[in-house]
Amino acid sequence: MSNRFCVKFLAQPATNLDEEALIPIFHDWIRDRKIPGVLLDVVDYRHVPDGPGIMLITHEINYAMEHGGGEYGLSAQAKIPEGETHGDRLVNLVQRTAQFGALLEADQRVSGQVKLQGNQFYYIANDRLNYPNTDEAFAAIKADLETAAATIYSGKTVTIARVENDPRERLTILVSVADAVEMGAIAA
Amino acid sequence: MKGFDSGLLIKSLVALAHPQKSMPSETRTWKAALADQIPPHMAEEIDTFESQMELRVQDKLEEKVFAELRLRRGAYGQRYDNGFRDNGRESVEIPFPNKHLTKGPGTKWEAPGMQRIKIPYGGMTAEQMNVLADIAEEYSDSILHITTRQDIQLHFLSMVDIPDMHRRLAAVGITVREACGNSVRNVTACPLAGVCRDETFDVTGYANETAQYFLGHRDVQDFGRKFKVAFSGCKQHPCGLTYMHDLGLIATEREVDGQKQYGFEMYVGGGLGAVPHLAKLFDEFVSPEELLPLSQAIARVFARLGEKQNRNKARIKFLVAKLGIEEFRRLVIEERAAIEADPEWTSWLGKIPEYEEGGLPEPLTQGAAPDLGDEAATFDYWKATNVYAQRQAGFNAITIALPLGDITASQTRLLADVVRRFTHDTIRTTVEQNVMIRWVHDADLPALFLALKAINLHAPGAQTIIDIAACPGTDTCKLGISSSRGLAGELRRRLAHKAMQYDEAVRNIRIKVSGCFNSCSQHTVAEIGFYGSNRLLSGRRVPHFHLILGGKWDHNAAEYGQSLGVVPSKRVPDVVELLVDWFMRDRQGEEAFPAFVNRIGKKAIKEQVKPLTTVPAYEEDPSFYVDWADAREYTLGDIGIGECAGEVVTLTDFGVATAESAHFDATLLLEGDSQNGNVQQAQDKAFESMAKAAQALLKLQNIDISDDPDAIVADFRTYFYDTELFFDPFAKGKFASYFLKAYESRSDTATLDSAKQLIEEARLFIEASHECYGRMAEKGITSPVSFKKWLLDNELAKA
Repeated sequence: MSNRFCVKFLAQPATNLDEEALIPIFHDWIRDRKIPGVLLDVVDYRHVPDGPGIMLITHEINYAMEHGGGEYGLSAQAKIPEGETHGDRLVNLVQRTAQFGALLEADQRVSGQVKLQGNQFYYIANDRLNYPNTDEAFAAIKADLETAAATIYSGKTVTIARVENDPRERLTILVSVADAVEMGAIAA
Repeated sequence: MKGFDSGLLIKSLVALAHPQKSMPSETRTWKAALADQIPPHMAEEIDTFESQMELRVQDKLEEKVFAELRLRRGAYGQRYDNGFRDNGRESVEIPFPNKHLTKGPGTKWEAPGMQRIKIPYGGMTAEQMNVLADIAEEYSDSILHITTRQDIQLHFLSMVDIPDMHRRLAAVGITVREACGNSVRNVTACPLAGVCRDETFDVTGYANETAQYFLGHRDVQDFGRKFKVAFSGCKQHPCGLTYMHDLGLIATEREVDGQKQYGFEMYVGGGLGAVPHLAKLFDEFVSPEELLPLSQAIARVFARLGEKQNRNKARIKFLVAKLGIEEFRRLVIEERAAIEADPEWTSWLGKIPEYEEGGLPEPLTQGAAPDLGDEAATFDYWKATNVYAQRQAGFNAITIALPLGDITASQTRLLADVVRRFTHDTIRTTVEQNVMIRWVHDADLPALFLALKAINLHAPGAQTIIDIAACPGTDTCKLGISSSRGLAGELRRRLAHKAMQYDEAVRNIRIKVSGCFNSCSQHTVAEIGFYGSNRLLSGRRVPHFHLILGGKWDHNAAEYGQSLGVVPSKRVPDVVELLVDWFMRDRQGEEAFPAFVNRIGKKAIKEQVKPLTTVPAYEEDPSFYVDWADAREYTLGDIGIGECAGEVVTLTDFGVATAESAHFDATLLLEGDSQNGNVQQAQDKAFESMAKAAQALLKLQNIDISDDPDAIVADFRTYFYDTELFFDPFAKGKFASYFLKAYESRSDTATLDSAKQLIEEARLFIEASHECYGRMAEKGITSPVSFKKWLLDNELAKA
């Protein structure tokens, strides 16, 4: 199953962050190895409207506090997914991303300025060849998402819905639960 | 090679990353999916490269050979790919899982890399844009970066994805072949070609056919360095930048026996780089029939006689300078006569009319122009800065200003839709890192503006002071010294606030920022240019930029500027503000900025800038010691706090400063009227500045070093050249050789060209002296005693 996918947690609508503050935070994380993986670099795309914002590049995952689709949030692009199955890999990426998000929310330099919505995330298939933006591909992938979501949101009723978007965009699926969920709870 | 199974490589690499896993066998591959859509020769090239990757992974292909093969397919390394990164405190090894694997000498296989994608004459189709968007999302960071040579670059790529990316590009007619390497690079052309009001004729077809002819041609495979070709439709505008290219063609016409003939003025030997050269006129009229054979003859002479061993002297500009244009011309004409005729020299001429474009027969919004509402004022400003009325009445070319040349994958895809809706698929990249939509009806401008606004591509200010070009610099480039993109982003933010207040003369100022002296942003020909540098102050590195003034962007980049010295990075916005405010306040009549600079004089400008060149102590303001868009304390390596503030160091600092002053005097001697009789004096002064810099360094070996140039050169050769102490980690002995060569030829009669060249070389030599001084401090060489110890250690190490 797929090795290429992304996830994205949206920021709470009230988020009002001076993005420049993320630059020293991410540099410090690289220096202090605050998150797992081979940490490589910080990239500043603040000048690009609806762009990737500030990125933290790792060997395994590209993280970004970004504005794609006009929605600000934390995205993670898996480059070398960890896990035996697609579901395992998804759980792993979501947990890594939540760990990143929880760490950011807790950083005093942006205290109170960043709050992510833990009760839902986008799954974005980053493989147009094997997972095109079609109902068939959605059907093929849905079972894996259900399995993964049962781990991520243990004991909660999960909704999995295909996002209606431009057919040329990537297959995007919203995975959500009704009640609020802290990023820290997912990361655990 | 043809039958190589691409899946093998992917499996090998996946196995390297995850020894416990294997790729699922049911996964479809792009190789299979696109088998019918890729021209066979392109498919074979990609398969071959994929097999070479496999051989490299198995260590069956030498890393330096693989590096050249990789580069010839546009796949570059990126910053930190040597496996180390400075975190602001120390250099730390990056723990890549397979550190032993390399993709070139000192280049880790698993380190992210960059792909350059050639876009001949900047022409793209909507279909190609869609594929570019897809690969940027799937393999890169969702950003497409337009370069100053109309290419597109993607960053943070994994080697494993390169072959499939090439296949997807090939399926829509895009090749990456020779996007890098010592061959013919992307052939650029004025983006207004075919619609320009001032062009002699449309050069589009000629540019593309030249690109196709030389792609993979046997006569362009043995160059010592790259070869860049540019076409322009006219002489007066900067769009083609023909004077700064290895081969520049400007459309021209003449009348013979009452018959009008079209052809090209051909220029050769131009180039920016570390030492800029303006191209020389090779032939004032080259017919279309002779365009390719003559270009081929030039390529053959370059391949045969151009420098091969010393990369730093291997561009054709050095060959032309060495031989002189007359001798070079004679050799090329001789070569031309000897080449066997090739039908492909002219077989394409009949296709030229096919390059002609047109607009939609009727406006899309005929009779139904949208209401701009609150956007009316922005629309007017956008129309004033971004819209060019084409030669064809009723049609317009619209420049979309991309911040720092960046556009997202989603924007690219939606822009492709806009292009399809409003035009016949007519969009081009520009050398100012923008894109241009051509053939838009007057009546469609409001609707187009709103369509662009919907995708956030409606920013006004294209090709103005806020439309700043920047090379990748320290963001991703291995050679970057200072953060060019960080600075450009900051300048853009600050200038944008005032942009509406600026009149046309201010708007027309171009700012370009390079991260090092290599001119990738074309800073040398900007009205205000900057390139990255650094200074060591009290044991700490401080990011700086050289301020370059006097460049001429107009007339195809007809003049390059000179450095007025360095400014701390964090003070550059203040310097720009000072210059712009001064220009607004004191300019005379319709005076343009370059004329203003010439009238005021660089000396007076330098005086005004001087207060902005100071750097506060670290304890007073540490922000000066951190580069733009970064948070780490600035370093070029693991320097830390040194103990180098002794007397001798002060003397060396002083000596290098004297050298800089002498260099500035040399530039002043050529200011204004270049034929002012000061040419010899300028050249002598440039040499003097080099000698002063060398003497300053020698004070660390012998505090009593003589003022006699003979003694300085002799000791410099002994202690700095022969020991390689002066050698730059990347350029090696290049900068030292400038000094030694200048000494050997110091009694030669100066010409304007030789004086200009020596001034540029002196600038680089002085800069290298700063670097050498910094490296010596790092090695603990701060006095004659420590110098002697280092010499002994060095000799022992070699023994």
